[in-house]
Amino acid sequence: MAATQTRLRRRESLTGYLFASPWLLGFFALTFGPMILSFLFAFLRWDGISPKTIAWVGLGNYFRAFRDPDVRIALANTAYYSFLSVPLSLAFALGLAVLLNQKLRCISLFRTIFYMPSVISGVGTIMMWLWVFNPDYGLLNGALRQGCNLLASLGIESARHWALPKWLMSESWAIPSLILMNLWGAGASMLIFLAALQNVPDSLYEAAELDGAGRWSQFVHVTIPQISPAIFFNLIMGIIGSFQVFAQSFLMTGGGPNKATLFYVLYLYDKAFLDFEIGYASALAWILFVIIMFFTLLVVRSGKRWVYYEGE
Amino acid sequence: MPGWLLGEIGLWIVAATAAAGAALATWREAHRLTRILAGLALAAFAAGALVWMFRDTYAYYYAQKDAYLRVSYWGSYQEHQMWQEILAAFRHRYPDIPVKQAYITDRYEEKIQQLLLANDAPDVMLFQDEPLPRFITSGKFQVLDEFCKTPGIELDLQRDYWDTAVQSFQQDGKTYGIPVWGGDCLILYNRAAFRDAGVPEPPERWTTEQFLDTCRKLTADTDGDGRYDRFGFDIPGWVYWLPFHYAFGADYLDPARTRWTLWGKEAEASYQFWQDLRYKFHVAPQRAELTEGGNVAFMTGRVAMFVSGPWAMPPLNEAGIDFDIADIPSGPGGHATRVTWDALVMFAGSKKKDWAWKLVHFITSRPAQEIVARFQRSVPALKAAQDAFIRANPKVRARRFIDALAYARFQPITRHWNLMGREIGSETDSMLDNRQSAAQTLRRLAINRHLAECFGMPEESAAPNP
Repeated sequence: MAATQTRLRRRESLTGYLFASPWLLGFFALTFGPMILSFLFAFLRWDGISPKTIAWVGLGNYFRAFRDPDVRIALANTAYYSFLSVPLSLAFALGLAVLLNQKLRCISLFRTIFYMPSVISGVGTIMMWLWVFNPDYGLLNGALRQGCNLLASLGIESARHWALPKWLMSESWAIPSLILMNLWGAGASMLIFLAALQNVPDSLYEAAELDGAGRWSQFVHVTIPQISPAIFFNLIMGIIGSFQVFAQSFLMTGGGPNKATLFYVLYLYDKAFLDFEIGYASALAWILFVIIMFFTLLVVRSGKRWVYYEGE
Repeated sequence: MPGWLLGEIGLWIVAATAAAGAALATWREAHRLTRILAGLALAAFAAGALVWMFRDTYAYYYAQKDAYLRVSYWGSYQEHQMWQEILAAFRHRYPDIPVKQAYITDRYEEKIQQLLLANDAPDVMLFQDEPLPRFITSGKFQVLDEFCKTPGIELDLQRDYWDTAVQSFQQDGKTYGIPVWGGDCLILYNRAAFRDAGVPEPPERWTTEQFLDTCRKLTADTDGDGRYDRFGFDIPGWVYWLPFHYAFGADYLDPARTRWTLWGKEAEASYQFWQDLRYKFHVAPQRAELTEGGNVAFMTGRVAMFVSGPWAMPPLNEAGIDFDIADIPSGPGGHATRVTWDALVMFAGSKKKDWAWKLVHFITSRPAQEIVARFQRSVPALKAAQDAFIRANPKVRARRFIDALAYARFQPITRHWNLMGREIGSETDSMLDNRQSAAQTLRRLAINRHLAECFGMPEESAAPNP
């Protein structure tokens, strides 16, 4: 009997692995393999063109990273972006999900509209935002200029001469601009929140109402704990994604002005593919891995205090 | 029938037989041997499917790739058209050599790097002088000196090509590239803008003071809304500022290109003038005043002058812009400009080096160089094609680009070119946004850690922070 069960279990695992094999093949060939290689490269100095130029430097690349002022700049920029964009995105996505969870006519249409930015190609989005942020003829400053003119016509004459933000062309506004742009793509998180909100049992709200809880209390003491697994998931994905921010600065600012949007992954890319320092770039990648792992574990550990699972 | 196809058919027969065995095994719930057979059948089936899926790719990249000579290049659509014409002429001259072109429109160096790493680079590659030192150390570029002596298709680089063009692709006495085209930077000016402003066109030779005076006269608020509608000049980035920098007598590196020399009153005067054009004299637009890109602004007349090379001419010619060429104004450092060249290099791992050399020789010889001249893409590297270049558009004094070669200077190219460009670009961005002075910019560059690691610091930088 036990032997038959073992055989059945083994067969089931084999079937499972077989079904997963295309993904496993891709993972080992395209992700795990390069990871191992990059771990080895991190101990080398190599131009990435010819094996002739390989030289062993041991931990030299890691020591160099700790001394490199641009690593500090890139880390500071990335941290600034992450610590602002992750909570803001979560709050924005949750707010949208709450609004789209109302029983209104045409709500499906609104849900589609708000989710749509998430399915538009990243490069297309970036091109559009380049126009929106254009200080001269962009949508944002166009609207702000109209606002200033309106204020001027109401008697605040100085409004006509107020300096408008230069957005991506300004050192101080560049990262806030990218954060603002990031909010526009909050549709994926919003969808997860929406699904979680729809799973909150009505009976809990009814009980809370009977206990005299108002709307806000219900939201804080019923909704938030009930959707905490979704918050937890979105938070972890947000942290990982924000530390890996790359395309925006690569395509929109090139890391400028004056390194104001030099994010860590962009610097890593510059080192690997512009300066041909594959070893150093690999070491930078592993440092980023450790940083992301640290923050992820921090959130996972803290999750025990604030994430509520129904089955537990 | 090719071998790979036979192999594929065999594999499919094995797979079909094994699949039948597997079906039988399942039906009988049979013992281990049949299950192993079933597993093998599945594996063979999967292998067959993979072969079926990738056979075209295999056939294209491996079975046929050695039958062609491959050449890679980048450039605009007009440049692509020029290449089509050059290669058509080559096919006509050498009908037995099939050539495939790889037109890489973006991130050329990165793609070439990947192809070199995979030992699958094109046999012949168009290459710029700036990245060359970084690539040479890989040993993957063929030394071409011996090829230049090939009987019947020899090249005399010293006699027939511009000196700076030849020297740009030589290192330690070895030639790694045969120059194709390039040029120096001068000032292109919009004649309509000059006419509208009632300003006389630039003289044959002029000074920085005369240049500034012209810029002031050109800069105007034509509609009276309080904002300038036309600017005299569009200030360039650091590479295109080099001609002015040299004219002020400044440089970035010493002649050996090993030591940082961006220091002293000449450098400060150059950087100060650069910043002043925008903020003190306001004859050049600030960043937010010109967001449509320099070329568009020039075409529409929003800026009357900008610095560029002959490669700026084809789109202007095509758009029918009435423009002409003026010299870089001379300053305390005299009359100067920068020169840059592109060359054809050969992949050291090429299996068709004799074909590759025929192509390199053809493109750098007169028939192809005259096609280059006709497109006015750049100054042809072959001196004999200069007349064709000058004649290509009689409305524009393209001869100035040829004349300027006599005094044009090299750029500070080293293997750290990219890094140097990023660091200088970042600091000068701050200066050109008026966030730091010229003196502060020089100081910050002199103590820049990355640059110091590559070039050392000038002794003067020990002076107190300005």
